[in-house]
Amino acid sequence: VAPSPLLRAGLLGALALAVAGIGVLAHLSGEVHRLHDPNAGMRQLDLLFLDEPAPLLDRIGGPPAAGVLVLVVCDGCSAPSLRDDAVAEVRVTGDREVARAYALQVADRDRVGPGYALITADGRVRYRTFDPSVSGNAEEIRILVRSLPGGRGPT
Amino acid sequence: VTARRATAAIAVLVVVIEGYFLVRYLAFGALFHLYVHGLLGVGLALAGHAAWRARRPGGAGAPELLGVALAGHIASAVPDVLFLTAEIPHAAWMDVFVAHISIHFVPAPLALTFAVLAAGVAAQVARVAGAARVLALSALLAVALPAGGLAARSPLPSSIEDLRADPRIALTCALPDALG
Repeated sequence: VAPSPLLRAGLLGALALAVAGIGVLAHLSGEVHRLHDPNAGMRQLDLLFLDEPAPLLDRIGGPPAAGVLVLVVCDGCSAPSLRDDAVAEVRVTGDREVARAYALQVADRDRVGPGYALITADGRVRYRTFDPSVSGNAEEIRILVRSLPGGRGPT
Repeated sequence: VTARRATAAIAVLVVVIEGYFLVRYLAFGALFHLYVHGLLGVGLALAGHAAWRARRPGGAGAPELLGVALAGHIASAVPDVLFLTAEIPHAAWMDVFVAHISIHFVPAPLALTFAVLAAGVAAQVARVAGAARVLALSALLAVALPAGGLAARSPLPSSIEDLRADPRIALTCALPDALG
């Protein structure tokens, strides 16, 4: 006996909600959620929302000689390896003062980042985000670097 | 046979496109975006379709529903597709794609967008049941939830000072450092 259309619709709807709900709950209980920006809206937004003088430039070694500085801020993480078509210099720091200056330290935990900021050769910071896997997200960083002045290398 | 073929074809399309989304978002560690935009787009599409279909005779088959849901997800994820395929960073104007930027800043975005999906599903079940009032209420809810969330959203920060204004972000001058 075939199920009624209403029963079928109800079962399919419940299945869709269960799959989505389990996915959302798994995400909320995972490491990525815990390590990410406490402001969910700012999570890897991929929008170049900043354009101001980069703070503590002297402390981080100055602006890049060319291209874009990828300032990785974290405790003991490794640097992302960008492809050659992005002109970038990568520096890693666990300096807490730098982390606070770039709003990459959360208030209620003793955690620096993990995250990164993008700084152009004229010393301006154009982007900053927490990122639980900076080294694993080299492709995302590469795209952002290439969209900034001086960041596009030969393809 | 034709209906089965249409269902199979659209099902394959759904699996391929949703699989592409899943793989790429996973590679970027960005499942948050998959959920927020996917739940919102599919929920609104299902709700809109239920309201539109309620005024027309005949039922909606699986291919139609799958197509509507897929179209809703794609419409809300266009900026992500542009980022992944054309390397175009996000911009404020991309809100034209189902509030792609602003939906990030609504209160509890994952909970809100899940509620939109639930309202869309409820509208479809109500359509099949012929429960016009429940359908209207569900469809209205699917629209009112994101509209209300967007009205209450926090603004997009434009400076590091804006970011630091969030009490969950450490202040520049922490007390121990200031004392030390």
